[in-house]
Amino acid sequence: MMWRRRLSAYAFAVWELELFLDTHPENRQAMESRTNYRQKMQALKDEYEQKFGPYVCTAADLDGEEHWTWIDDPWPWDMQEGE
Amino acid sequence: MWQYQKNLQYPVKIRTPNPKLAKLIITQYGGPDGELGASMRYLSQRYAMPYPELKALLSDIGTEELGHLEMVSAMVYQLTRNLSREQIEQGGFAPYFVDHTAGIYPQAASDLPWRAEYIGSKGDVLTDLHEDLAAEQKARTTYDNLIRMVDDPDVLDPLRFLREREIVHYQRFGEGLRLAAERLNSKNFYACNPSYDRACKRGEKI
Repeated sequence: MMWRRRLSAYAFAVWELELFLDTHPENRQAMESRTNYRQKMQALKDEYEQKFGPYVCTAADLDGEEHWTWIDDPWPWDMQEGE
Repeated sequence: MWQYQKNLQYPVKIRTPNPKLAKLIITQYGGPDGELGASMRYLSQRYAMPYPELKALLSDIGTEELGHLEMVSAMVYQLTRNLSREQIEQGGFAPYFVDHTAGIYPQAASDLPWRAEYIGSKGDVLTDLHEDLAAEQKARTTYDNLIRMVDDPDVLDPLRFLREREIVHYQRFGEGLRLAAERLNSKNFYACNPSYDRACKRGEKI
């Protein structure tokens, strides 16, 4: 699923900059870059959740849902055979 | 606290089960330089870190290691799904299968179960950071060795990602060690601990 891959890529960029900032907390360029990637990640995450349901537990919006969608497959380790 | 994200840090999709590889890769789950030890090491050590950068770094890298633990488990899970009796026997997986079926259990490639002796937590910022630098290199070497044993690109891809992360963590820990050393007395050439060696606080020879 390309969605997950793109979302993972933005999330990874944000995470990598956060680790860098732990040891370079005054670095403006890294802070701005993190903000930029975070905005891209958030936009994609909102779009993802509208289509596929919650990405993290607190994001689960139950309005109009008939059940607790957090439990829905696939979980991250699941394989759809023939995928 | 921690909150679960229903997503792997990097995708794992292994189309062809291979119990022989699973028995090797599980070493990065519960082996001497695996991700279980890595996460426990950093998350235990962080309480002895006297500087905010280092509290953050140990918390964050320790958290990322939990994500790597999840990736390694996903690899072992996918490599051992839908196995026939022949595949179990020919893949050298029968002893593991008898003990754990295809459940994920923390052990080394050499069958040894995970041991707390794989980690150090010494309560000393310099001692612990040196352990961490060594631990990242040992984990990197283990991924190098695994990559040498693997042909399947579905398995190589996440292994290469995990190997790269060891290199990045090594870099960050090196910066952490530099930050800690800079806060010692400038004459403290041997990086002794000023809370123990009182002479080094005064900048004298011990």
